[in-house]
Amino acid sequence: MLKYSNDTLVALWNDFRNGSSTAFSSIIKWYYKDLFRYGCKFTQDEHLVKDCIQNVFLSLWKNHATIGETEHVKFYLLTCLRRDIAKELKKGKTEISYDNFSSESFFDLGLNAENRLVDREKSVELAKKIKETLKSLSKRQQEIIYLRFYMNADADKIAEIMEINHQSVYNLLHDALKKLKTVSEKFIICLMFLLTISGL
Amino acid sequence: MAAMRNNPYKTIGDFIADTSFRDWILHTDPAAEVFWHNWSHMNPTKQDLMENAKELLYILKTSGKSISDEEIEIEIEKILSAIKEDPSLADNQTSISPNRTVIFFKRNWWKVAAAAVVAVVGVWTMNVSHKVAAVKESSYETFTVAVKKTADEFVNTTDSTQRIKLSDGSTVMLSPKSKFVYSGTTSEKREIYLDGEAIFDVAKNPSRPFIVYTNDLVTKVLGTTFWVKAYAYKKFTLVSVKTGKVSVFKKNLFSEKHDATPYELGGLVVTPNQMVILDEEKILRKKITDKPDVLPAPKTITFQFDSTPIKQVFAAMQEAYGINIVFDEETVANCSLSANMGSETFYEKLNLICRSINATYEIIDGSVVINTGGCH
Repeated sequence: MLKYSNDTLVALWNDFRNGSSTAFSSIIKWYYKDLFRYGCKFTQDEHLVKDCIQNVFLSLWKNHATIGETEHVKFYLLTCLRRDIAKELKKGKTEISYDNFSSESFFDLGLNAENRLVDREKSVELAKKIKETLKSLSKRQQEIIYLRFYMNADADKIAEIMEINHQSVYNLLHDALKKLKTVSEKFIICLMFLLTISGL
Repeated sequence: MAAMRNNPYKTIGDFIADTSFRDWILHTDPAAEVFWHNWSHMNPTKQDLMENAKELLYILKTSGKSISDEEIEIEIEKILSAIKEDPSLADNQTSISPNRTVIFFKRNWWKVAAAAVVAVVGVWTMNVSHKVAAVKESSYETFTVAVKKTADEFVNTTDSTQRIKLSDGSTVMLSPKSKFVYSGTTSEKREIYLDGEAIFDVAKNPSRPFIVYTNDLVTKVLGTTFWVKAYAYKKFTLVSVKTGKVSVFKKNLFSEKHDATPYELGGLVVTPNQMVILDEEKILRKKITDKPDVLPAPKTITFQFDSTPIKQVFAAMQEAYGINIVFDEETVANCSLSANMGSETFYEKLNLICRSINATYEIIDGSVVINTGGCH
């Protein structure tokens, strides 16, 4: 998303830092969906997610004069949101409690009628297998894959957002890939390819 | 476009690893969709591979929780009013109160949005178009009321495009089921509020800027032909430029400050054969039009090349179509082209050129970026 109109975004971010509320509201609009989707991975409570997003933006506004330039607004916001939700879920602790995870999985794969492409028997079977295997991964592993695959975050950003070190990102991923290998050679080749590029 | 540089797209993984390819399938990104449609036309041999990659990605598309634009608007209103009400947050009073017009639009929008949310729970998708129509209507009405005494309204109720000549000499080709209000007859400013689709051929008059408002975009012109598509019932707004130069802003960022550059207002400058789309998620993107035309030029440009250095070939393309082509001069220093081209489309020519020098290209922010390892 950043790539398409990075100049527009940088202009917005700088306007916001100079106190423009219209730029600020555009930034909220721009990222709200991503933040909401990510937040809902940690709790069933949509109101809590909305409240946390509100907190994030209020404190952002409060500190707008001291906030620096960034090319990674999205990841900055995701990090803030994750921290805020963790605080709300387990008072005082900044570590996310995976016990409170809403869905059984990070991946509510839409294996429904909406996906008309997936109507061939083979695909449906593969989809089921992938779904099961992804579910069997630890929540941390799922989150890494989610951030990489759906949010386009690289290893640096994943470590930052999840507040773990590089090595942990690699180790968790390595184990996850081993497990996924059992699903389908074709699928795993793709996934491995994806996860090994851009610094992972 | 975030397509990978020098990606040969030889395996399914090459596609899946591509951010813009994922954006297309996983996030239904319209700009990425256009890019990949073009791409698959130009690479017919890769279509099977691409279909397989698509299928795999569809499996991975999550159906997770979603939130509607209206709900997001409500959340934004909440955040902004929380800022207004808390004096410790509002360190700069002037900066957080938008001007009068903006407030008026916002209030209106808020009311309609809130009503819509109550009304459509349960049959969400069915009602989307009506809801959007209601909201847009209110903006059009607001403008009409605001300029009523001095403005003319034109409504095309026929089945064919109508040609309307404005008092300033500009012409408007107004599509069926479209309407606009023009305030330029008596007012110093030439302002139009459009609901629907129209092509504007604007009479040059630098002292009286010509401004076209739609529900969410503002297009400012000095003298040009351009096309705006902003039907109230459709989610996309599109501005496409044939000749001249316009700047396009999101309405909430537009201000009449004459010294402000488009860049400062978060706007985009659009030149011939480029277009701007405001998509469903209200993100403004610049692209190249689907079928770029050769610009009317003082001298005719021929596409006949005989061992011509590739630099000159790109220069000819750039001059003929007015589309910026970005490439590394050093890398292509040894590349040349021998070809006779004529009636091919822009993309056909581009594809031919790239194939002959073993290059790929990406469309980024309305420019063509050439990726190549060079020629021996």
